[in-house]
Parts: sequence; structure tokens; C-alpha cells
Amino acid sequence: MSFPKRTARLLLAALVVVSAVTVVAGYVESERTNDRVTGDPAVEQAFRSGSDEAVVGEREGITVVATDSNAFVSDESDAPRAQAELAAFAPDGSVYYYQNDHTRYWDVDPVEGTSHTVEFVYADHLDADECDGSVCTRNGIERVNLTTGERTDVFSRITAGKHSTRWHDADRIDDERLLIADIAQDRAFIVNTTTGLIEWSWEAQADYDVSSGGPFPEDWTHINDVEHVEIDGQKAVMVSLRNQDQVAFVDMDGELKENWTLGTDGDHATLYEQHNPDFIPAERGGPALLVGDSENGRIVEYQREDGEWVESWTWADQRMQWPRDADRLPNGHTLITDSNGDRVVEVDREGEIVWSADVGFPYESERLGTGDESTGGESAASLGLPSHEPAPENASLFDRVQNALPPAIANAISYAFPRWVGLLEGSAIVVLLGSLLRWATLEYCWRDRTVAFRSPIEFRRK
Amino acid sequence: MSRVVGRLPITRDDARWFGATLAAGLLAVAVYLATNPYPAYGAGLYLRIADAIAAGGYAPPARIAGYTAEGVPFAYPPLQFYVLAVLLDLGATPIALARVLPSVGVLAALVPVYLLARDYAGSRPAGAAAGVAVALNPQLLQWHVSAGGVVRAFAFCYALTAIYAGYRALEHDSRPAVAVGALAFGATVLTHPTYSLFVVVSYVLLWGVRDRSVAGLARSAAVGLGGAVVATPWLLWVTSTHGIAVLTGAAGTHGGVGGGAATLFGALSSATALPLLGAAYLLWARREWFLAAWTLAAELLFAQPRFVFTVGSVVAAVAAVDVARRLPALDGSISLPGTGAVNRREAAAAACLLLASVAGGAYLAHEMTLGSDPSTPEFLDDEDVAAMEWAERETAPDATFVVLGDAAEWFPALADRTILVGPWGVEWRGPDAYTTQLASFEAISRCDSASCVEGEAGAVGADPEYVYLPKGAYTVRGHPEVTFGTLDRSFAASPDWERAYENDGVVVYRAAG
Repeated sequence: MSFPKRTARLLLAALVVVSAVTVVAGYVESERTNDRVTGDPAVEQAFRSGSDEAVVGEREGITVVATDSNAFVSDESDAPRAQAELAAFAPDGSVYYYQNDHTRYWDVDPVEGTSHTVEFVYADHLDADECDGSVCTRNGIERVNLTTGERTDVFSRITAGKHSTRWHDADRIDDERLLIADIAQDRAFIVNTTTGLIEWSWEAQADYDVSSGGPFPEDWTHINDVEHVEIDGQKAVMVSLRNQDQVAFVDMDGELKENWTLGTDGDHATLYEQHNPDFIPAERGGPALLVGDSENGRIVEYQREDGEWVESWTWADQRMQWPRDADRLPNGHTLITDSNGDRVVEVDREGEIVWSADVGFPYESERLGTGDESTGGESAASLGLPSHEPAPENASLFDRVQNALPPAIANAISYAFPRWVGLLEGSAIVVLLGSLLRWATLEYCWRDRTVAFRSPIEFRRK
Repeated sequence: MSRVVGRLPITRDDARWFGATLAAGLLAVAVYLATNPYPAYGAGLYLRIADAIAAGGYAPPARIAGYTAEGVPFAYPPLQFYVLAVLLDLGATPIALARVLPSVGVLAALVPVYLLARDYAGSRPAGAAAGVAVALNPQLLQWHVSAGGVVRAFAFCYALTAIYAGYRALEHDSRPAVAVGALAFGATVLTHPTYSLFVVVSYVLLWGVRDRSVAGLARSAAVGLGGAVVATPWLLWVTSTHGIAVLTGAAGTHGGVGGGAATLFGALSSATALPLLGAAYLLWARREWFLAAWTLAAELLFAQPRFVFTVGSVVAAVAAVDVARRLPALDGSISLPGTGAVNRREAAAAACLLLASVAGGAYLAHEMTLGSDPSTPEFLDDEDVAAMEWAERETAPDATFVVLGDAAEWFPALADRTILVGPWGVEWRGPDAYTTQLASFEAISRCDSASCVEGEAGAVGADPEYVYLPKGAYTVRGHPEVTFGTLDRSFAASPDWERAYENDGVVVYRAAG
């Protein structure tokens, strides 16, 4: 069907105007309501308004959430998913504490012997004049009393670069010593924060070939989690090598306990670029590993049986996208941090969500009073937890498209995809681009001139 | 009287096009007033100065008490403070003055903008286009319609009047324009130094690029001399009271001359580069050297983009006229119901102005009602006013405070008590003192514990009897901040402080013992 020029122009102009207005209205609406996270924007609105109203459900303890930022070009953005924050929700559901001074927030742990004090890992991108003219990052561990705001610097070091050099995790061993996951140098080390001396370290190169995992040296292992554990009656360090898809154990003599390693490089059915594995020891129903199996979009738990790791529990729902933390709580519930799902959820023993907080791009969360990460919880096997799978019949059209994509691509899209673009706005963008393209081609066809791409450009009559 | 009216540069023929400019200005002002129950930003120091002038029988005060322990020297150009003093004496309240008076200056400034663009482009629609662009520019409004507009909006108006008079004096050999220019330039010098520099630069470029005659030089010099004569009494008073160093010391504290260069090279992708594109087009299309030089000067010499946006508005209007003249589709006229035949270019201009005004007004309404309102954040709310009334009523007249957040700027004016930390007016004590106070104020305002406040205050030798803490959302130098009670809990837990006052938005602690 062909229209007269005038009719076609009017039709296309109408399509452009309507679709552009739809897109602009969607964006403005989201900006006005801070509705740029998946789910309920109440928490993000409170972060901006300072409201002392309850924005999440009630719980017995304080829930602390450290959030990452998806700003990768500039550190400056007020979008909820680009704002790195350390926030705490009071038992009554109101915001109890908030800070956003650092460029990124990662691991957060309760401080033993305190009720409201946490220690967290942060990264600050420094200015070029602080980095001898180059790009660098201060990685540090800071302690804060959530009640009084008193802050104490614990330890920090500057590393070169920023994107794949930021430390993600530190585990306290005792009053003076910290175990640190050093992404920048592909190692785990124990530092005495009083003396500043490194007392122990294990480098991934001691046991892994540089051809494994990610690109060497830019982002080879992406060691993102460490834990001081005990296996076979001996102290050891558990290391999460994200890009090798493995959780490994190294004894204090620096020897890799190969038969304890969970996962294989490239075996994405077991683990796919995991985060924050928690070791649950034998006395609490383990040995077991509760892992954020991030690229697989699930929380997974493996139970140690006859010297092998056996999958014992998984949890996922349709919304889950790139989960990066799970803590087993003393009551058998699991606190899950769903990064691209923009939420922290607590699921009960039946796998039902009993509490949730919709927060932009969270990295890790802790429920105070339940111990550090999963130290108060038992294994899924001992609790008899049933697994929970997404219900495909509840999937929206958008979910189905996303589910059909390879996980890494779906997560990459989800990482950067603006949350204000729903079905309506997405359709409007397609119509807008299509109309403009069609209009341009029609106008070109209607012109009595053509552009010949020769050197130099030549205009001539058709 | 009729002779005077006859020599005015505006006639009945301008009614419709200037009306469009004025309508856009009224729209911007209405949106601001409707969305800002309290004035945006601060004018506490300005009003305290005006109050001191009125209280002293209109003799200029040497120092202004309340802003830091030792007070700050009064070395600001004084004209607007005398206007404010008169209005205060007539019964105006400080907050109402700061909220409403800038709008008068904003609207008045549209007159010279319209006239300059109209005469320069030889087109009334161009005058209206520049006027609408200035009226609805969020950056210009941020600095002119907000509380500080009690000074800046009028400085802007005086400066543009002086520049337009200079244009008339040079282009039309107008002697009355020289007189108006001298008076307006003098008023500018007596109001704000940066706007005075803008006038000087504009005159130099007008003469150097467009005129270059001896007569033109004489007329420009007459304006400068006239302005100097008008401003001389104040300059003599300032230098004899405070010394010349007070002026040179303050010169580098707000971006300084040449501050735009760093801004430009750091952010060529920003909107401030747009006027350069327009100027480049006019240079290519019309060999328009003056506008190119004026744009470049405004871009490079001034850290504050409002100057290049002002120039850019004239550039955009002249460029729009040039483009419209090149479009054959706009030749001839069209018939509109009720108006008969209308020139197509004028109809297109009117439609564009209407569209721009609606879109600009909608954008301003959107921006000014955002929770994080980037252009007109309020430093005050009802709780702040109540807390300051309490401080005035219930604390000793010599009580000292550290106030966290931007409400600090208003505190000495509304509570009549002293803040120990704050940068306002401290530029007159020199750049080091200003930088120290500014850094300290920002650090304290972002503290989230009592020890942080005590440490930062102690670092500048401040030992307050009271600390004034915001609750919930507040601003620091206009940027949104938020607190969820951490500060309050921290002071409550400290044995060194006791709660003295509290409402829903503010809590005040008194040093114990």
C-alpha cells in the first residue's frame, strides 16, 4: 500500500510525535518518582527524601545492604542503580542508616561483640592527581556504628586501575587480622592492620594457569570472596575465583586442597561466575557451600558427600537476575541479594518470600544478630529445604525473551537496561526509531537527487 | 513627556513581540513562586547587611556580625543593599523580599535583552526569541530568580541596560544612550563586580570589532568615566575603611576572571558549547565577528555559564533570523482566521516562541518540583524558621552556633545569633580564609556523628555552645543530602551534649556543663 507523500508524512510525523511523547513521559515519570528500579520504588524514594516512614516490612533485626553501582563511564549519576550506598533498615521497616560517600560498597559484616556496628569494604576512585596522573582506586575497610555514625578506618591500599582491581571482600580473623580477597593481584592475603604487615598470602598463579579464567592480567581470576574456614580439622582459606567458576580451598601452608574445589573452569552447569560463597561446617549440617550462582541466575547450595560436592538446594524465581549473595539465617531462612533484580529477599524454609526490600543494584546484605554471613545457619540438607524454581507460566513476555538469551548476555542487558523502559516505552522506542528510519528513507527516495559515495561525494540528478 | 516617550527605543509595534518575552518571563516567575514557598538558595547575609544599614541610619556598616565569630567586612558593592534596607524599613519581611524581589529584576532584565537582540538582528521576532531564551533558561533563573537575585538579577538588568546603551551609543551616535550607559554601568559597578566586568568586556568588543572610531572610543570612555564617577564614593569608602587588599583578595574566590577557560576545556560537550556552535555558524554565514568574539569572551572569561548563555540567546536569535531568511518555504504570507494575511516568517516565529515557552515552562515546572530540584533548592522550610525563632527567643544574644546544612546561611539573619562556621562574606577576608571556611562548612555539614562535627569545628577553632542539626533531607551548597537520625542519636549518646530543642525537621543540642 502506498500513500501520497503528504499523507505519509503526516502519518509518520504523528507516529514520531506520539512515540516520542510516550518515551519522554515514561522517563520523566520515572525520574519524578525515582521509579528507576525493578519493583517498589519506596526505598529509593526514602533514600532521597529522608523519610522516616516504614518502607520495607518488619523484621526482628536490622538489615544492612551494601550496593554496587552500574555507572561505568562516569562515577556521577543520581540514578538509583548508579548510586553506591550502605543502608540499614530498622526492625520497624524504616531506614535506620544511610551513607553514599564511597564510589562502591561491597562486603559488609557485623562486628563481633557489637550490636549495631558493621565493617565494610569500599572502593574510592581517586582523581588523577592522587594517582600520579593515572587511574587508581583506594580499596579499604571501614567500620561504622550504625546508631551513632562513628566511623573508623581499618585498612586501605591504593591499587592501579579501577574496573577489575577493586577488592570485594574482607573477612575478619581476629582483632588485628583481616583476610582480604585481592582482585587486583589475583591473590588472597592476611594483613595485620595494626602493624600493616602481610602475614600470609596465596597467589592464584601458584596453582592456576594464566590461560584459565578471564583475560590475563586485566581480569584474570576476579577473586571476589574469601573466608577463613576449617576443613578436615585444619584451618584453611576458602577463595572464590569467579572467572574460573570455582570455589577453592587453600591450607595455611599455601597448598591448594584440590579435592575440595567446587566447580571447573567453564563448567557452567555447576557454577557460572559465582559470588559470595558461604561455607557451612559439619557441625551445622555441612560441609556445605551456599553460593550466589550469579550468571546462572540462582542461589545454589552444594553438600559435601563422600568427598564430592553434590547439589542439595537451589532457589530462583522469575525476577531473579544476577544474585550475588545468600546467607543462611539461624531460623532456616535465606537472605538473598539479587543484584539485577534490584532487591534483597528473605525466603523461608518453604522457599516463599517472607520479606523483601527493593533496592537499586545491591551487592551484599546482612541481618544483624544472625552472625556473620551464614555462620548462624544450617545447611539446606540438614534443614530439608525444598528447592524453588521459577514458574515459567508466570513469566511476562519480557521475561520469556530474556530467558531465551544466553545468561551472560541477558545479565549484561539487565545490568545496563534502564528500568523505566517497560513494554509501553520499549514499544514506543521501536516505533520511534522505525518511523524515523522509514521517514528518512522515504524522503531520500522522494528527492530528485542522489548521493553517490565516491571520492569526492557527488550530487547528481536521478 | 511626549518627547521622552518618543525617544524611547520601544514602541507600540513592539507590544506583541515584547509581550511574548514578558509572558515567558511571567511564566518562569510564576512557576518558581508556585513551586518555592521559601526562596531558593540563601540571601541571609544580604538581608543582614540591609538590616545593619537601616539600623545604622543608612551609614554603611564596617562589619557584619553573625557570620563567623569575628564577623565579615562589609565590602560588597552597596546599591542593592540600600534598596533592600529601604524595603525593610517600609515593612517588607526578609523572607518575602528574598522570594519575590528577584522576580522583579528577572522581568526587568528582559527589556534590554529584547531590545538588544531586536536591534542587532533588525527583527522583532529575534528580540522576542532572545528574550524567551533568557527568560526560560534554567541556569540564568537559578542565579537570578533565587534569593541571591535581590542582588544578581538587578546587576544583570543594569549590565544589559548598559550594554544595550553602549550598542546604541556606538551604532546610532546616541548621546542619551551614553548617559543611560554611564548610569547603568555605574549601577552595575555598585551592584556586582562580575557583571561589571561583563559590561566592560562587551564595550571593548563592541568598539574593537564593530566600531574602532575615535568618536566611538570617546563615547565608550564617557560611559566608563561616568560609571566610575557614580561608583567612586563607594570605592573611596571601601578602600579607606578596609584597604585595597579587601578587593583584590576577594577577586579570586568565586572562579575569578578567566575561570571559564577551565570550565570550557573540561566540559566542551556541555550546553555551554552550544553558543559557540551558533557563533561559528554566524561567522561562517554572515562574517559575524562581534558575536563570535563576544561568545568566546563570555565562554573563556567567566566561570559562571550564565554569561555565555545570555550571549548565546542573542546568538541563537540572530542565527534563527538568518536561517529563516534562507528558507524559501517561509516566503510570502498566510491567511489566519481573524488576522488576515500574516507574514509566514512571523507566523513561524510566533509558533516557535509559543512552543518554546510551553516546553520551557513545562521543563521548569518539572525541574523545580523534583525532590532533588537542581536549579532552585530551598535552604529553608517551616521547621527551620521555627527553630530559628526559638534560637532568637530562647538563647543568649551572644550564643554561638554551628549549623549543619545550607540553613546556616539564613541563621544569623533570622535568629540574630552567630554561626561560627560558614563561607558567606568571608571572601572579603581573603581567599585563604574563604577556602578554609568553605571546606570546613561542607565537611561539617556532611558529618554523621558528633565526633566528626566536634573534630571539624575544632579544626577551625570553633567551639560552639549549640549545634543545629537537620533531620531528613537538607542541602549542602545546594546539593541534596539526607540523614536518618544518625547525627541526632550520636549527639544524644554523647555526655558532652544535651538536647535543647527539637521539631520535625531540626534538632538543636547545647554543650553540657
